[in-house]
Amino acid sequence: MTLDFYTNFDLWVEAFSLIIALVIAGFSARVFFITKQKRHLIFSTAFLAIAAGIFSRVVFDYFIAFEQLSIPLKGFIALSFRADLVFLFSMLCILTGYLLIFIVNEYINHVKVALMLLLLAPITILAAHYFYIIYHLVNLVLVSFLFSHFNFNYRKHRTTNTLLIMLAFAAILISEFFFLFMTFSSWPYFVGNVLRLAGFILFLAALIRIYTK
Amino acid sequence: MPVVRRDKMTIIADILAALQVKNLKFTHLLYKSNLSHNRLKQYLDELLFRALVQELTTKEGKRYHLTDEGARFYAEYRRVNEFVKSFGL
Repeated sequence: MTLDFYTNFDLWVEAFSLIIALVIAGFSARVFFITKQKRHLIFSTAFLAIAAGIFSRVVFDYFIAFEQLSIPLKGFIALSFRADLVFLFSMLCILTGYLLIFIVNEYINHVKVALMLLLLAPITILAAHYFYIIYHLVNLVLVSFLFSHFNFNYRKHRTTNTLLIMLAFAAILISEFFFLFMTFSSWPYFVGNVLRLAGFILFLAALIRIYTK
Repeated sequence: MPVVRRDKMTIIADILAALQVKNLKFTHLLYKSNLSHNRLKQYLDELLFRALVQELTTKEGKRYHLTDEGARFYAEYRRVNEFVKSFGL
């Protein structure tokens, strides 16, 4: 699926994105402890879910590089991790993360509505098993709504930080578009990953500006 | 013109922001914070209690001074506010 020169390098790209996602989750959790507003906790949970998904991708990339890993448990049981289950778990976490951000952005306070939306994640993942295009299509639609919110936020505040966040989600949105075509060629996968990396670099830039304010 | 009601944190931040520039007398702080006499007194009492602000007696009279703790609190508030605004929360 990936290009030869990109093999093993994508592991470092994912690791970088993982660190950024964790920093955002941590900062949002800190904001929650100060403000006591639940939406900040949900936002933190969203990025924790995304971080968990990216971590799973790091594990998945590790399996791609080293095929299979057996871990003996207490010397008696050997547990073989199936790379495809790890990948499905990754997709579930990232999709759940995006859905949580959507719930926060749209001020969805009704628990039943929020739960119904979150249940879309496992249903999508089940449908997307062996048809990963479905997962990326759902992500594309979802991230387009997220981008719309952050675009509105930028137009409302007109600050550099809101612009950076908006551009980050724009990059992630375009990356999801490229991922739709990765079954036909390896180049969309590479371009998609570069764009997603660019998105997380923009997040990092915004976080640095926020912290040094 | 619609009346914009500030929450407690915003009012405290406005007071600390005014004191960050220079030490101020009560009346100057009254104009800067846009509060009534009694309300400003309440907020200042709380800030003094939490050691975010200090009362100094000078030749010109009583002035209020932002402590190191107050400066740190205000910096943290600005970071939190900027994070919330940047992510549209």
